[in-house]
Amino acid sequence: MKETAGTTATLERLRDARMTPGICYVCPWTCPTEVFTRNGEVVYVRGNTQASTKGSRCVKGEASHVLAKDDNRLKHPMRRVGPNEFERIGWDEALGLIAEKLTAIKAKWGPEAVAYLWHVDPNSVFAQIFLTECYGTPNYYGHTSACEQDRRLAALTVLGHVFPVHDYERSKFIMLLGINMLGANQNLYESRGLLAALAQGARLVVVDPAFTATAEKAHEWIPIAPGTDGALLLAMAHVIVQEKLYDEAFCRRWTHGFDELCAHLVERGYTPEWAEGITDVKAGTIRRLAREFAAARPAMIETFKGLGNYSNGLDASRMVYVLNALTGQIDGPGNLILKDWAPLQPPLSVPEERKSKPTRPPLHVAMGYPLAPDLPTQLLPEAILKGTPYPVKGLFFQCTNPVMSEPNTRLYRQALGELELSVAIDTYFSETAAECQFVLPEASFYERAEVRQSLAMPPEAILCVPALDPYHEARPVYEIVRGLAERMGYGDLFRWDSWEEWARRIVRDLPTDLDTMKQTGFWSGELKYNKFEQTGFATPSGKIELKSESFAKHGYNPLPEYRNRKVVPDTDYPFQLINTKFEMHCNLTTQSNPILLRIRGENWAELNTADATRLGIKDGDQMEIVSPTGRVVIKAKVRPGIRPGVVCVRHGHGFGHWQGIAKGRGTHINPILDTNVNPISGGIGYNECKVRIRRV
Amino acid sequence: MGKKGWLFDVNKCTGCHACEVACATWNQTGAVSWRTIAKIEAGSYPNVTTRNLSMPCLHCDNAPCMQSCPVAAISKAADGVVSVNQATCVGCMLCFWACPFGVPTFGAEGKMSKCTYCGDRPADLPRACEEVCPTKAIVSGDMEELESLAALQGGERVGGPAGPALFIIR
Repeated sequence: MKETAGTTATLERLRDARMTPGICYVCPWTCPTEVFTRNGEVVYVRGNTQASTKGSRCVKGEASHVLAKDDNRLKHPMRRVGPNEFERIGWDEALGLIAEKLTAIKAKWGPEAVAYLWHVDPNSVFAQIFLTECYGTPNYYGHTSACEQDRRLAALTVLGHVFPVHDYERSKFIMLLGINMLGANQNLYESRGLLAALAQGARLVVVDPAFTATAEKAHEWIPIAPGTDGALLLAMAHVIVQEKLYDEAFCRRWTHGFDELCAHLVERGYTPEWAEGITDVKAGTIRRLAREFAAARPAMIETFKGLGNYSNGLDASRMVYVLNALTGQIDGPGNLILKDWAPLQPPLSVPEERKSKPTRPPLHVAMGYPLAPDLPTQLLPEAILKGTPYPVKGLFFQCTNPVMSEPNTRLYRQALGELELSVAIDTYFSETAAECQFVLPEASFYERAEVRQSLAMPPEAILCVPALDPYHEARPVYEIVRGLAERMGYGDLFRWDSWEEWARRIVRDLPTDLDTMKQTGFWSGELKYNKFEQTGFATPSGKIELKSESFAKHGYNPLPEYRNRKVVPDTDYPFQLINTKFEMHCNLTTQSNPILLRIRGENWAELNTADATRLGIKDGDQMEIVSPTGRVVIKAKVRPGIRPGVVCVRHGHGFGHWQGIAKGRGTHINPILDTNVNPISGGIGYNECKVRIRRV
Repeated sequence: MGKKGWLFDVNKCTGCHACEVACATWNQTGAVSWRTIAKIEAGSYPNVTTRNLSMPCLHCDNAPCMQSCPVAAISKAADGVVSVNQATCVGCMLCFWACPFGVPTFGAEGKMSKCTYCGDRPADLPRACEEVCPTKAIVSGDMEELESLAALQGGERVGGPAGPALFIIR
């Protein structure tokens, strides 16, 4: 059987085209690619066949060649002159004005009053170094609170790893809760590995109120009551403890708090019978799942964003890793992999005497979320409007659109209006850019260089070489930041003749060099298992923390417990609203791609056939959804594959003003969501919403 | 030369549309799509099943489109690939009605177009749809080769008088 085309294979159509290695940045999974260009145009892009994704691409990536010459992109810097009114300015003027404001804010409010937020982070390491080391603000943040904040904090505190990946292919038993591996944003080698595992006879159990693209492939779909996964997992652990199905030798050697956890589960009475009343999963099923999981080798249980959509998602996520640990299923073949990273170095260094030190703690700590792995962004509007915990006066938004993506969108829009400095750096205009004083056009992944970590199982570094000349006046972040640094007295540190100069510094510790990587596009190291046997775990105890010392230190219960989610349906609002994604769209970034728009141009809300029949709602009807916070109208999709009592919104559409051709198509659901912040992780509770529905 | 065809694994397809986009991009099909993706959910809660299908031209042995064409614009090459000569096509759509799988598409110019089996890709390279597929649900190749591949995985050739060149694993 033929293999996928090799890098050297020549297609007639590509004969005189130039190939440069690239990184697809249409979503945060950053797959390595090969970009073929001719006369300044992208003629073909394919997955890098030698890297770990082995040539395959996702639908979003495949459609992203449109970016290279999309007339809807931002072409030049702009300054806001009034509501929805912008005027074109030059780079020199824009950077000069921004630098002036940065200097003024620092003098008046302190450097901590400036923060930087990103959704995807191409080259934002330059902004990080400039803002955190030169300017002196600790407030450099991503978008995790809108994503896998609970999962990330659980992985950090239980396993001491920021981002476990998955050796699906070698696994025999896979249980997934609130993670739609095959439907939402895809880590491609993992999708392939999961399907390969199933072909080899692995058992897949999917726990989700919605029959997702992943549930389609499962042997067993468990449509659990929304936001009760923690009870199911605690009860599985209870069975494993009561029946001594754990790997005692592993637990004694490699875990911390084993005896306390066992006693805790029994004392609290976390039995399958207890969980049945909460989860609507039969006690017998829970018992069987626990036994199947404990008996299978190798096995894994995993989650991602889903559990964190509820206020009780953090302990549920912790229990995911506790269960893997109880059975000794960590970092071995077929397990969760505590990924090794490629030894990449910073592109530049700031001498100690040139560094500015903040005097205030980072915002997330000052807000009372010391363990939060990323900023609780839901609390940002309050910080801006009320000056608590301390004043926030300047914000950068790199390729992020919180005015659309956060619940309580009105409050966000209002807060942005109060800032002394607001800068959007993006390839496209957005609802957030519309509220910013400065809008700076960012180069796309066809026009910029980057070296970064891949999310493959082995340590892997991937390289993006600019394939095209700059698009109009768009600039990569490293050039934008250099412009600010030059105007603020740090130009000598941000100095290079070509991108290769800083790229060489990033790869200097790799057992390869930049010139080789410019041919191959990547460097991949050896995949090693059970690395903890040499290194231990990066937790306070050096072991897997079934009982978290980080939690204890901050006064939280160190042992995972069950609490009800915050918002529960009642007589007035009898449905639970939940969110899922489309496989052909990434968050808020792809909806105006004309190819993807043709495949899926609008979103909908799904409800169970029985509920729909009872309420006289037919497939395709317009349906009103009312929450205590607001009201929207959205198209109904009636299907058997959704738990009764649940309304499941496919989110990401309904742009009001700016997303080019996607404008006005579909429904933006966030205006009916209230502010909901996980009390420890600071993650956003997107599914903490009760609603009533009717046909309109 | 062996006859060309497809092997499609329903169990692997997730219905993601990547093949559709890859086909449209490589073949520059503009507003029409040469692959049709269907997600078919059946059953009643909680016993639900979904089947995903991704359908190109099946390059049938006894291509009904070819037999229906009044101006002989459709032909079948030695390697089994069915193609249309757009210069001859009059856009009458008889082929669309004849095709059991609804394959022929008609763009703004009114001429029939459909999967060319990526005619400009060498035989030892994957088709555009096959190359992109994240789960390797699509395999192209010689029918004899596909038959043995299908047999290994319990697949079978799709029947019917048209003789579609498709093995399916379900």
